[in-house]
Amino acid sequence: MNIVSLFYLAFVAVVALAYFITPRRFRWVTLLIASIANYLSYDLKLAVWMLVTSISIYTGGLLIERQEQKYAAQLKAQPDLDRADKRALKKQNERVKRRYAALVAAINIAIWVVFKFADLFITTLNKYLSTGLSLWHLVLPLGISFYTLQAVSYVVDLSRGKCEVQRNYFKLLLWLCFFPQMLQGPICRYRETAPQLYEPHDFDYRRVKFGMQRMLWGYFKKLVIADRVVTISERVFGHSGEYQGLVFVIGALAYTIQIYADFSGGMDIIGGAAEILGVYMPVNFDHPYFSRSISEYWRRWHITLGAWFREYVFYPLSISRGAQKLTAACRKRLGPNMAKMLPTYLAMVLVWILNGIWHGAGWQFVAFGMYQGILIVLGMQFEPVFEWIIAKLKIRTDCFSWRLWQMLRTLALIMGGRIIFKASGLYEALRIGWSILKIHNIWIFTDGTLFKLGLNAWEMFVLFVAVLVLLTVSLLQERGVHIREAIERQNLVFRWALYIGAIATVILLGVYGPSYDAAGFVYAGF
Amino acid sequence: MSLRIKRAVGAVVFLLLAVSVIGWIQNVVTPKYDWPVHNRRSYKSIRGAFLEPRNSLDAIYLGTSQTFCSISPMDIYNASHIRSYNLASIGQRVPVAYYLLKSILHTQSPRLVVIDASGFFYSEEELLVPGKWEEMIDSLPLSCYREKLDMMKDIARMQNREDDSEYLLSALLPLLRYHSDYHVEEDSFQRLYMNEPYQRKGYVATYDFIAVEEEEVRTARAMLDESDPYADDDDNRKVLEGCIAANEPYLEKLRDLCQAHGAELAFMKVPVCANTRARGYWSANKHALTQAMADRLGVKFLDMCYDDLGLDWQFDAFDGGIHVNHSGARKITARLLDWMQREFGLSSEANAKVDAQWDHQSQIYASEVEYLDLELEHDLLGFLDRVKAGDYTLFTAVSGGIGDYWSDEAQRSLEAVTGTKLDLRDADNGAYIGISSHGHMIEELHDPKSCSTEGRLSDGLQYKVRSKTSDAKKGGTVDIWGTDYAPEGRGIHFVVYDNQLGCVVDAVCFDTSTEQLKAVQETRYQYVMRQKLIEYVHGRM
Repeated sequence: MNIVSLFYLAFVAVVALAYFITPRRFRWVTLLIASIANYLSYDLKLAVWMLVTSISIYTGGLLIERQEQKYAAQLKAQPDLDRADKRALKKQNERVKRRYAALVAAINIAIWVVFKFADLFITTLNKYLSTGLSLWHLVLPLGISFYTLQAVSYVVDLSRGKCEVQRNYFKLLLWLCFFPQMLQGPICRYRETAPQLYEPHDFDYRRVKFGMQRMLWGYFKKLVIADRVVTISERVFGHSGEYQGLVFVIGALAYTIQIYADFSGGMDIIGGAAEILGVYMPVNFDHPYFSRSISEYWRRWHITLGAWFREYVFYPLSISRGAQKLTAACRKRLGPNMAKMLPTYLAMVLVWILNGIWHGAGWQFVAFGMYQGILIVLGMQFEPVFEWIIAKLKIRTDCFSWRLWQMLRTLALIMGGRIIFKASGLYEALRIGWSILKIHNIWIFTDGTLFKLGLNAWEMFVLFVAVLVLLTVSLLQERGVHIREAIERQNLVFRWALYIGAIATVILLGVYGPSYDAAGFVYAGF
Repeated sequence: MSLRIKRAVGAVVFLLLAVSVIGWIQNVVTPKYDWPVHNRRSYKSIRGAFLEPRNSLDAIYLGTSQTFCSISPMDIYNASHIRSYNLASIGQRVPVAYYLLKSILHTQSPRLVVIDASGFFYSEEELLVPGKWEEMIDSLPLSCYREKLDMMKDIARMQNREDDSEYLLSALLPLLRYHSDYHVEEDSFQRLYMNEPYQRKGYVATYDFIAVEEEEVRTARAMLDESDPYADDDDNRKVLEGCIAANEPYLEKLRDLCQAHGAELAFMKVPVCANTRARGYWSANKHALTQAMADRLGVKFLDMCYDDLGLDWQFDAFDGGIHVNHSGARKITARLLDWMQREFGLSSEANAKVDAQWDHQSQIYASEVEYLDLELEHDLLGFLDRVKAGDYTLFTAVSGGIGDYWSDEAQRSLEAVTGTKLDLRDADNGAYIGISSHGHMIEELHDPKSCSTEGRLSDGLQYKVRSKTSDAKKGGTVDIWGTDYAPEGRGIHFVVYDNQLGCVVDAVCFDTSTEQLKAVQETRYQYVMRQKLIEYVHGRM
């Protein structure tokens, strides 16, 4: 069910109504039924893969629990074990649990890899080995990139003893396929979200109101901004042969705005719907374009994905046996400093490559990941140099202008990444980058070119005002203003005028309906 | 009041308010077309049918724009007291006609349904044009929600958009289709609250007279002949058979629907004078296929293309033969009425309340038509007679000299209308200007070569008039409020300013240098006049 549709709104309303009138102990069942219905409404056949994942983690969880019980029983049966034996037993227990977790994770990642990369793999084989294999054209099961990561996090957390096993299969299934988050995340940890799903929530006027307001804000971002500005980015990158120089900067800026409004708007719709039902989804965006460095940006952009990679890939990689061996080897040959940094940098670049691959099956996504990883590594490596230059030039860093410069610089680097991400291929991305550096056609701002990118003057005006509204709200939030609470304190006439004005704005200025080919959510495609 | 109740009441009030605002936005942004300004069927015309008193209509007409320009139900009422409504629409497809009829049958029980056959020859692909359906879906009231949804389903199925649930839903919520189109017309707000029946009863009175080229008249007539030498690929019989076959299921449904509601279905063809497909020609092939279809379905068929209705394609054509103007419509309407009475014994049952309403609307209609008649008048003496009868200020200017065909009769009529004592045939009066009202001359100038005047009348009307003998093309100008209304041409120019409406209502030049005294119209006044007329009629309703 498309979350940008009247049917979705009606669905949320019906589910909420059903949820609040269901007896408290069965409320989670209402959520489960709604989530299954939502999933099946997309594709009946592909739901089998969700079933496989849920059964695998359920079984994995029970096996891990059984091992834990076995370990406890062993300890109980042998109370006179010395410390070394106890440690050996514990190690053995950890190893077995890790193996179970690894097996379940491997099964699920294998399914995801096959669905996502089979065609890329075959295309590469055909290209370099002339194998002549035909493509599989597999259709991705809905939300596989998100729920696979969730599934892995569940079994890994269980093996690490960070969460408790769920013995009720249906409750586990609910956590995996909770309907608001199905399309594009966020990637929820079991220990954070599951208890909220199982706990019965009573109707709370304020919470429901806030949830609806958040959904409305999400629709504003998605329909008024993202689906409008997409015309420019699609025009520029879809016909990149017709443009040069600064037009690509406009295209990259448009895509930068689009992808933020699209993804964060989607998160607001999802978060709002969940909030109505009393479930608070983890924060996925924290005004990332106010970041002053790339590493900060990635701590504020798609937070749950970054956290997942940090916790389940980067840390294990950094402390792995291979990393330790590499550190030792580096210490011998390159000195202690390099020995400290190099394994971390390598792990970081690897994580970013994986992050890029998660976004899509193509070499440009690998390059996108590498670009981010290299920028972060360079930023860390050259930080002392920058600090030295700042000190020498006596640049003030405690003022607005410096912060603004840092933000704009980061934004420019982000836009560079967006070009790699959006271009039709790696070579095309390089060509676009080269064109921006080489051709300075500043006259595009005065010769009417901007109005030939798919939006007329009125549409441009609407977009400009909408982005201005988004920027203002973001600035206020960045300064710690809680918008919904602030509105709540206003007089009734003002509040209602604001709400109805916002609804009318989305209805009138939103890009939706049968006359439009409104863009789907960018992240739903991953 | 407890907090819970207070909040519940607040939520309900807010919801009602929000729904009202959304409903209002929907009404504003949904297009409300008005023929011929938008070249779309008037929203008001269709919606008006649903405001007619219950079971008050005796007959319904369906068809394309040729039908709504040709049949005036109010003229039929004035002649026979038969109450009918014209539900034709631009390029009306037979399936659309079926759904329109189905919708109107919720509130009416006509005894006769007459459908024009021009729509029978749309091909299967042409049936798919969504605009032709959507216009009608949006014009139907919400009470016909089933028909709206059925129409949307049909068009979605034909376009393979059955899974597009939002498209289907847009039958009831046109906002989904139009929210960003901003089709907000000047009089959108006025039409939002339309709650009165419509005095034209779906008829679209057209006022231009654009003559059909002689060659086209000849070929159009020849196409009606079975030995038609002009039939080309357009008139390929096999293609036409395919078209009518595609429409047959809906024609059958239409007949069954009529039978189920105790009405009789009939076919007609209103006259056209066109020889190409783009112009909606009619031919012997089409006639024969329609007759065969009528025989198969057991319905009667009146083809007025073969009747001598006294149509003059020089003056009865609105746009060169595709449609007739009001003058032509009168002749066609009279013929149809005669046929309906003779063949079907159609008459009307008296209903004092409904008749009183129709009589009132008939008066409004008459006042509208009065202006149309003036515009359509192409005879000099007839024109002067009409001006004499109305509350007008008449601006007269001679361009390029009065010419040889200014007759005694014309001179006498002019004297009667304007009160002038000057003889325009006098050489001293080669250049002539007259401003008169109600038979009294307000200002008059004459000169052998040229003269001009400007000023302001007592009601503030600003004018500037010029007459020259040396310029045959633009020797006369009549400038009112900064706009020159005088058409180009030699002869005598008349610009008629209506004192009640407060605008120009006709501008014409009679070429007195030719025996035919050919009339040339200037149409720049028409937009303002339509607006003023709407206000005037609205005021009277």
